[in-house]
Amino acid sequence: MKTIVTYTLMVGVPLAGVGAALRAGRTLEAPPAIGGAWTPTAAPDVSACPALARLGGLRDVWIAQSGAALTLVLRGKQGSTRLTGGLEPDTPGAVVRSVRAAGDGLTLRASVPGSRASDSMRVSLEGADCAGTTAFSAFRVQAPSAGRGEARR
Amino acid sequence: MMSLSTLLLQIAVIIICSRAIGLLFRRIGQPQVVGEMAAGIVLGPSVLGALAPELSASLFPAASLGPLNALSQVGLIAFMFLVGLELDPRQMRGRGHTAVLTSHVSIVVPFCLGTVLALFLYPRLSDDSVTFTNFALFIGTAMSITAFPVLARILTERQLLRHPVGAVALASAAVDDVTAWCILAAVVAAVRASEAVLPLWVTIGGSVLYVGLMLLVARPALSILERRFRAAGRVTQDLLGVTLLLVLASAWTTEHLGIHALFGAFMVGAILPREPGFVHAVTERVEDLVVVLLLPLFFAFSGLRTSIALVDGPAAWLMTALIIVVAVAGKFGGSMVAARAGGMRWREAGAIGALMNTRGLMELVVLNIGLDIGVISPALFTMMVLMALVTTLMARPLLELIYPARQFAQETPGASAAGLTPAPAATGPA
Repeated sequence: MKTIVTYTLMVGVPLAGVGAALRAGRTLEAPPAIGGAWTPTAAPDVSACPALARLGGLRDVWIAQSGAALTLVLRGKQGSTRLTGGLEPDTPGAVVRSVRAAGDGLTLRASVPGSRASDSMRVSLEGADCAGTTAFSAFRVQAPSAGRGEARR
Repeated sequence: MMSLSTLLLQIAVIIICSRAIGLLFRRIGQPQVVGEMAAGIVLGPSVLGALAPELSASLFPAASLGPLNALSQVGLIAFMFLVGLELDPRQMRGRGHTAVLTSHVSIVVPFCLGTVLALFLYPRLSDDSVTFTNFALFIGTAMSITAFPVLARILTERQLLRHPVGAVALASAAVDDVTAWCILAAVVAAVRASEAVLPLWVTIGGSVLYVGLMLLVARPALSILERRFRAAGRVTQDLLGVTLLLVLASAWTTEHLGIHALFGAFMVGAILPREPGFVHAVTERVEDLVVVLLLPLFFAFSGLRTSIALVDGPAAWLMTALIIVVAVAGKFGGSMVAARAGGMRWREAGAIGALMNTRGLMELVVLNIGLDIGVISPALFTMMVLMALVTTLMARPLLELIYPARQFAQETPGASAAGLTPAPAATGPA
């Protein structure tokens, strides 16, 4: 009898805890997924920005996401550069999510419409040695889950 | 495209680092596998990439990671086959209710704490492409893992295999591994089903059919391998070839069913005939190549994905500490309390807790799967890798602290003098 009570207590209670945690978590919200590879809809003009020109243009933007923290890799034909940043704090009722990242003398701002599974993004890039802002639209070519662990790209 | 010379250079560098750092860890009384895990991190962006980014980029260019990953996956398939081969269902028999209680509690308590921890981690380290249920089940599974192979080696070195502590720990770890892999297979299937890779009913129905066929048809049929082994007196190349083909076929099947190739490799190892000579001979033929050549590639590939820079700021380090505390509380605490409730002395129960808390390479395998299928983010992956390292590092000193070898020898007259001091660390897989 003691064995049954001990077993029920030590196994049953944690199992009930698993059920309770899973129920409690159903209402939780995580930041919107924007990880993956994003390709410009048209090749952006990088002539005014030497930092981008050195990359040989901009082929795509790779985003590795951990919650609201982001690592972005701008990839060109001749190289790549890494920026770190994150999703901007949520505005109640916002229909556009903002991204800000910086590194290597570049600052990237982007807006992602919608709160879930958005596949288009408006990007602007500025740099200390850039004559102006490089702006372009990009669309996602690789799903968020495929973006995991690819920060080295 | 990468050249063959790049791959060969990578393999050489990885083996040198892995053996050198592994040896260093053995010198300080740690399992070699911990050193090899650390070697992977040293070769990745956390150390080499930070200190010599140009060398790192030329040694491990992004385009070269595909072939390296493929080779490391082949090594993992062989390793999981060996893990399955080491499991013996007879280990559970006759261990009484202490083993049953300890094994079940050592799974459900860390699993429960893992899902509760997920409530905190999900909004901070995940995103809405992952459902909370999948995320929480994965964290629970990752918390429940015990490195069965390294535990078996520690027990052998300490001559604890026939001691109640060793017997209960070994039986519990065996049950833990099988259970954790089944849960993980379910999580992988659920994630892939949500990505509409394969309908869930195909995965579930196919998996039930697969396991049924393996247990009811393949296992009896495989006794032919044992008969061939007895007739030849050794594992011939033909016999080894057939065995490896079975492993590959099973891994291919489970991969296509959506429950991951490693489960299939593990399954073949678990159902092979348990004739000791046969198991020993097959292990001997496969183990060296896997341990010396292929597993270090996996460690290196894992290290290349582990970026400690992602654990950025005090908040992130506090989260890492919280993950480690929860992991230790669940596995060490859960196993210890269960063993005590099962009638063991506190010292023995504590020793079981210390042993069960070893996560080793098995945890790394699970975490890589989680990262591959997108259930965990790169930052959480790094935090969990650090947890795996810390819990594996603490196993041996904690065991010595709780149940010193000298005291064990005094209490167990049958233990030889060799048991008084910890033997050299294991070199095998962990």
